[in-house]
Amino acid sequence: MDHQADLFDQKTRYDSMQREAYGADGEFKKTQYVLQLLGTPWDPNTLKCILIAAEQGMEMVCGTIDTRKNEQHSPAFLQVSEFGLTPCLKENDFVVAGTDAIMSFIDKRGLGNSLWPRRSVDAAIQGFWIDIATCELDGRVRSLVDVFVLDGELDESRISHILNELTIVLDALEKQLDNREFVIGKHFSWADIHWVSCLYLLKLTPAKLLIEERSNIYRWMKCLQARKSSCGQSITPYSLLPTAEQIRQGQLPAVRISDY
Amino acid sequence: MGLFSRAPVVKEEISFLGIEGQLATERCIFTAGARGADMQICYASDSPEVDHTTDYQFLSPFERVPGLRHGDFAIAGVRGIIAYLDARGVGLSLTPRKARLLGKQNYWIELAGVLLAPIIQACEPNFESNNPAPKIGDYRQAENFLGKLNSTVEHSDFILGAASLADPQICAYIKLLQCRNMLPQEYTAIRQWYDRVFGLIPNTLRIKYSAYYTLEKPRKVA
Repeated sequence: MDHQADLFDQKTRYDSMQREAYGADGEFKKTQYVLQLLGTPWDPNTLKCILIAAEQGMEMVCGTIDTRKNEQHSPAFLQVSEFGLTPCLKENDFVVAGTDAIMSFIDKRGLGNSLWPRRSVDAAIQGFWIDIATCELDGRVRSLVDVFVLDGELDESRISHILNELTIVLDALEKQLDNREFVIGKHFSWADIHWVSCLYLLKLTPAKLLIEERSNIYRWMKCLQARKSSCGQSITPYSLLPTAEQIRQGQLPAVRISDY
Repeated sequence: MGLFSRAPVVKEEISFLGIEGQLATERCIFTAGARGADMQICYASDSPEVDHTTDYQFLSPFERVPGLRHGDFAIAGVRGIIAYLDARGVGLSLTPRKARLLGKQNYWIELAGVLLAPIIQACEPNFESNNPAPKIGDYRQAENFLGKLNSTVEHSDFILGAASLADPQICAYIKLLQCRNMLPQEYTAIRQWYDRVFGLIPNTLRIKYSAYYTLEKPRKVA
């Protein structure tokens, strides 16, 4: 089949040869297509997409959009994401952008059970904690990563203000994790993915002390670091997150599934 | 709870507390209407002597509004409330079952949040001055979004074809744009679609929610 290369193919280095080779060895793969993600290594939202793809056993190749260079507003990117919304995902002829959109698509499409809770009360509590992570944590973590990982600039009073605000947010999570295995209770959910993506990036900055001095958060993160994916594949999603060095170099790791 | 036992049914009425004209509050009310959730809606007042702030502040450590209470259960914030209302509403959920449609639904919701929310929130009375004010480019993007929405609903009943959670939620944005005189007249398809979304409300609740849905003039509801 004739395939026209777009920004996804250029950035993820997923060319027509690889496309044709996928599944050519006769091995049956449960997912029909490899997902292609365009995101930013220092953006918690991109990390959320990687984590859920690994959780749901979906193979995904990733390419970087450098938001510091405003690449999300470049004509090439606007061709795939009309309003410049990042991250952006492609599955064969289907393209979708935005964190919730990508997460819900992968969660539904993936091999395992959905991570969205079935009980209305659990779904509501999950929503509440996602709200807190997006509104109170995301932006502050981005600012710290920009300063301490990407060598951006921010005055010291602003940094100490951010750290004070983070203390309140992390205290709330610490309390919530008291006697709970995961954020909403016994079950791993989207809320864990939202929080761990931000806290993973926070751990790359000197603010990691805020995590280490909170025993419940520390225990919960240790548990997630070793946790196998919920779809039953032998991968540890947390291990796929980019290192500080990879973030500096603008690299995003791919999600590879080998035991299908 | 035993293997075959069901979760206890909460018979109390859902009570909802929000702020009039606030985007998050409107999104919840519009979703509740489309899902046929009969809830008692109350607004926190601006005047301190009749303020309900203590009612909702204890719902969350982050003073999030709106807040919802149903029996012993209380939740705050737009995501939690909408997830709860969608699951507890009448009939089938508005959340699409197919992965691509679900992705598209959330794309539209997120897009409205990114492109329309900043210009709507800049007009809210409690808009924080440290938030960046919208620029000309933001208004242009919002216009592009409305153009896209108009052409989408011109050819189909709802945004995704069938009704989804994107419809009532984006209606809330449209309502607030209209209240601020920021919805151009030429988007007739959007206005017709808005009426169709109002039609999703069960007959028994239409009168109640019509006061919240009306596009004609700002409402005054106690």
